[in-house]
Amino acid sequence: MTSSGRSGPRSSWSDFELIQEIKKGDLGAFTALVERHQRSLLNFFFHNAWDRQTAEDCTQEVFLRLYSHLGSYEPQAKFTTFLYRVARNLWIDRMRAAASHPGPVSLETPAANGDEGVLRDRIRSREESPVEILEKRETHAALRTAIERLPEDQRMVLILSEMQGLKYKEIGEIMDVPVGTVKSRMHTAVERLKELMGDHEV
Amino acid sequence: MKCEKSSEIVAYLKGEVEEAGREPLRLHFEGCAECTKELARFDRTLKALGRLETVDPAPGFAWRVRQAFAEAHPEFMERVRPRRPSDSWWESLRAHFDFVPAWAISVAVHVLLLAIAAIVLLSPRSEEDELRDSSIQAKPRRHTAGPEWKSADGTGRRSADFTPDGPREYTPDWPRDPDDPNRDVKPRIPERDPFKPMDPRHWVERFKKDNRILAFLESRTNEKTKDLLRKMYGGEETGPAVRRSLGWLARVQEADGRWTAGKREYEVGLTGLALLAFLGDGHTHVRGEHAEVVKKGIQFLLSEQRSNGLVGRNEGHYMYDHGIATLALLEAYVMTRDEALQAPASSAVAFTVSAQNSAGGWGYAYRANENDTSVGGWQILLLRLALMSGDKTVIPALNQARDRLSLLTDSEGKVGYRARLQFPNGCHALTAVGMFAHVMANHTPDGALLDLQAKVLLELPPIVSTEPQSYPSNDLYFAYFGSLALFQKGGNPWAEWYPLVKKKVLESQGRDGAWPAGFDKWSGYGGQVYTTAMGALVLETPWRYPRLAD
Repeated sequence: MTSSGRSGPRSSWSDFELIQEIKKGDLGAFTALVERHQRSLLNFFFHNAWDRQTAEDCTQEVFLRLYSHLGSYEPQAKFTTFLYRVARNLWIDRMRAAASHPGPVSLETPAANGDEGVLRDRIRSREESPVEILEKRETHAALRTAIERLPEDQRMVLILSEMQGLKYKEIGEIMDVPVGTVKSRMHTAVERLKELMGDHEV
Repeated sequence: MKCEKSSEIVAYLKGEVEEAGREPLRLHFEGCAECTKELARFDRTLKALGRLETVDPAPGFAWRVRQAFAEAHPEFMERVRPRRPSDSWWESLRAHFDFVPAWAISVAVHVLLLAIAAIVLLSPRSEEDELRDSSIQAKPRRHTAGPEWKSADGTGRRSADFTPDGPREYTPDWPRDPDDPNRDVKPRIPERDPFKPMDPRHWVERFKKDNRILAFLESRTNEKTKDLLRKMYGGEETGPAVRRSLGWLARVQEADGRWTAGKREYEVGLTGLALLAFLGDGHTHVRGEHAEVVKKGIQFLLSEQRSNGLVGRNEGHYMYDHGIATLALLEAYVMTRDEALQAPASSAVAFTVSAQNSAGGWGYAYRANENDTSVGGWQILLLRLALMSGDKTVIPALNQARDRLSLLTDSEGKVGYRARLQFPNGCHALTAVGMFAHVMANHTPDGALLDLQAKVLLELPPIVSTEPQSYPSNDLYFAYFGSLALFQKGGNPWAEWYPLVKKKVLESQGRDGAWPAGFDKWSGYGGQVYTTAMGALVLETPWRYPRLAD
C-alpha cells in the first residue's frame, strides 16, 4: 500500500503526480486519471468512429495500454501529448486490423493515383451528396459524413485541433510531423469540408 | 482565382498565426474581397464543427475502466495487496479473487460446500465423526463455515446463527385508535405495487427478517413511511430539525465532495458520517433534494479507496474511517442497487474481513492486536448489512466477532474497551456500542443480556445539559449508539431514554441547523461536521433501521 506526502484530493493533483502514485501502486490515482481524461478521449474516438460503443472500448483500451507505456513517459513532456499518442496509435492499429480483415473493401482506403482522396470519393455519385443531405436539413449528418470522407491524416488533425482544442505544436508532437504540416493539413481539411458543405447555411 | 494568402485563413481563425504576422494578415484580409468572402465561409464551417454532437462518459464508466485495469494487470494488483507470510490458503484464495464480484465467489463457495455437504451427509456417521466436527468448530478462524444446512435427521450440524428462523408469530405494535384503544388502526393490506415503496406494515408479514431490513432501507426515501415510523416510535417534531441539519451539512461540503474538520485526518470518516446522515433520511445519489451532495460525497470516498478495498489512507486510526465510510457505501448501494457501487462496497467489506485480528476483533489498523470495541462496532454493523445484502462470505468473520464481543462483556453487561472490565473513558458508550453490535451480530440476541445492558445505559444521560459548561461531559457518540441499541430493545427502556435525548438534542441545535462545534467530549476530532452529523443521526434513529425483534 502506498501513502504519499501529497495532500488534498487526488482530483487536485497534477497528471505527473498521479502517475508517480500509479507507479507506486495507487489504484485511486489511476481512477482519478481516468476521470480527468475520459471525456476528451471518449470524444476523440467518438469523432473518429461515430459510434459510442467503439469509443468506449477504445477509451478503456487506452487506459489499459497506458500503464505499460508509463515507463517511457518523461515528465518534461505534456501528459496529454503522451495520452493522445497512445490513443492515435490505438486508432491506427484498429484501422489496420479492420483493413486486413477479410471482407468488403473499406471506402476509406486511399485511392490508387496518389492524391489524398479515398475510394468513397470515386463513387460519390452513387450515394447522396452532402448537398442533398443538406436539403433534408440534416446539417450535422452532412458535416459528419464530410468528416468521415476526409483522409485519415487530415481527419486526425481536424479532430485534435477543432474538437479536442489542441495547439498545432502539440498535434505535431503527437503525430510526429512538423507544425507546418499540421497547418497545411488542417487548412486542407477545413477547405474540403467547406466545399463538401457547399455554400449552404451551416 | 484564389488569393495565395487564403491558405493562412484557418490558422488565422484558430489563433495559430504568430503575433508578428497577425496584423499584416488582418490588414490584407480587410482589403482583399476574395479573402473576406473566404474568411466568412471558413468561419461558418469551423463554427458548425463546434456544434457537432459530443458524448459524455456513461455513469460508472471510470469504475468499469478501473475494474478492467485490475483484471488486465494482475501484476499491478499483486504489488499493492498487503501480504503476510502467515496468510492461509483461504486468504490467498480470497486475495486472488478480490476482484471477482462477491456474488460469484459466493456461488462458487456455495457449490463447493454443497458438494462437501452432500458427501458428508450421505456418509454413515459415528460418534467419532461428531467429535471431529466439534473440533473443527472450535477454531472457526477463516474457516469456510458456509451456508446453513441441516442434517437429514433434522438435528442440525452447526448452529447457523444467520439462518432465518422461519415464519414466526408476530404481534405488530400498530398505532392504536386514540378514541378506542382496543381497536388498532391496521389497514387492509393491498396487493404490492412493485413501483411503490413498501409500507412498513406490509413487509413484516411478507419478508424474512433480513429481506425486511433491506426493504426498510429502500423505503427510507418514502416520506409517508417515515411519518408513520416517527409516530410509532416517538420521533415526532424531528423531521424539520433533520432537514435543517442536512441543509447545513450540504452547505459546508467541500467542492470535491469531502467533509472536513480542517485537517486531513478523519476526513474519510467524517464524510462517511455525513453521508450516513443523508442516507438515513432517504437522500441518495439518485434521489432527493441532496442527490448531488450525496453523489459528490460518494465520489470522494471512491476516490480515496485503495486497491485492497480500504477506504482512506493507512495512516492513524484508519479502521474507524474505513468502517464508517464502508457503512455509508453499503447503505447507498442497498438503497439504490446502483451497480457502480457494488464492487467498491464489496471490496471494502472484504477489507474489513481481512483486517480482523486473530482474536476476532478490530483495532485501529489492519489486524492490530489491540482490540478497540468502538472500531469493532462499526465493522460488525457493516458486516451484518453486507450479509443482509447477500454476501455470505462474511459469516465466519461475523461469528468470530460475536464471540469476541461476548468475551469483552462482563456479568453486568458492561463491554470493555481493549479487554473485559477495562473502561478508560467510562463504560457507557462502549456498552451502547456493544449492545447494538450484539443485536446486529446475533440472529437471536440474548434477551437477559439486553436487559442488563439497557439498565447500564439508563444510568447516565448522554447529553448532560445544553449549557456550554457541560459540553465536555456530553457524549453524542453514546447518544448515537445508545439510541440505536435501545431502539432495538424497545419497550420501557426506549420510552425512558429517547424522549429525553431527543429533547436535549433538539434544544441544542443552532438556528443554522448545526450543533455547536465543541458540543461533546469527542468533538475535538471531528468538529461541527461530527456534532451535526451525529445530531441528525440521533434524530433519525426511529426510521433508520427496523426493530429486529419485531
